[in-house]
Amino acid sequence: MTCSEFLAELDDLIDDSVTPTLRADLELHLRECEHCVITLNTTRKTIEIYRQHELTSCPPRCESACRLPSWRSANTAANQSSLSRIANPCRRCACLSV
Amino acid sequence: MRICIVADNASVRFGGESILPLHYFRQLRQRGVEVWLVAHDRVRAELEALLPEERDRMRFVADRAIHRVLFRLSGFLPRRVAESTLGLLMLMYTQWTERHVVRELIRDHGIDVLHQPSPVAPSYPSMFFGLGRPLIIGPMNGGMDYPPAFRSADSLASRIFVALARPLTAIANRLLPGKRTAAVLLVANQRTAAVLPAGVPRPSGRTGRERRGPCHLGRECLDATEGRESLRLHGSAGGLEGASHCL
Repeated sequence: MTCSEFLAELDDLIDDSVTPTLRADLELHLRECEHCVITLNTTRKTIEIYRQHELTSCPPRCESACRLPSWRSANTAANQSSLSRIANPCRRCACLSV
Repeated sequence: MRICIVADNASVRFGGESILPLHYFRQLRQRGVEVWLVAHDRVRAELEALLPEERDRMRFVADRAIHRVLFRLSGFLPRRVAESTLGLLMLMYTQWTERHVVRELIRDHGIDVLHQPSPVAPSYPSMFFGLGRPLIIGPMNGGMDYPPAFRSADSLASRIFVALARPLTAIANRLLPGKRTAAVLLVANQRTAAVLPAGVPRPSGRTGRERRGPCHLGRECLDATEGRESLRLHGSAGGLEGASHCL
């Protein structure tokens, strides 16, 4: 299996919808190709990041000072209160730790 | 969240990294995320046949004479030289034309985030600056040379040219600040982070799983989650200049 053939199956591999035979071929390729391991892992993780974070609005008091939206991790109770700004932080309020 | 994926090519047919934007688009759509895709017209027929139900979420920039001229000229150069000269010019021109489409999407669909998954080369500049929305670039993976068994595929002249051209990418990234002003740079590993252009914030040596604390840059460092992959943001005196996330 070539890297291009592997990449063509990446969607199905991430969705866990490949046949056992194809999975064996893909895993064999992964054992021999560091680049494809990296591509698989980073693609999975990037999609996971998008799934785990949602956009939130800044508190009204600082809306005018904030140029960009922030992301909130949405998975766990602890994370419900954790805001992380993707880019320029609000300089007026504590957006980083609301 | 409304995401706009920007790419030169998004294609199964073209092979290599050109399939990555398509994977992100499909994966995120399958998960119900509001995503739009902007790519070059050369992949339109393939994408519209592959994803007919997503036609209204795909935008394409026209193939111009300059694309054709650069493509023909690149045929006279060794592959790696062509990629890092005329190929790069063609990419920059495509990105420049895509900016107009991205602006329209921001205006018409309220795009929140721009995502540029390719090219994965950490040194390539990005044209998606100054669009008023956070730009996420990556995951990037680079800083590699040909393995010994494949060195013959890469001529000495090409290697010398590429080595000489690498410092020029720093200048290109100064002139085209997309990467320097990106909200988040996703990198596959520290090897890739090490070859990010000058002026780009690098992730610390620690993994994304560590808890909040000052990073080695002495800047405020925030991990949004515990025990899972998380975003790490680097602050600075004037605010967060950007962030790198080592996946």
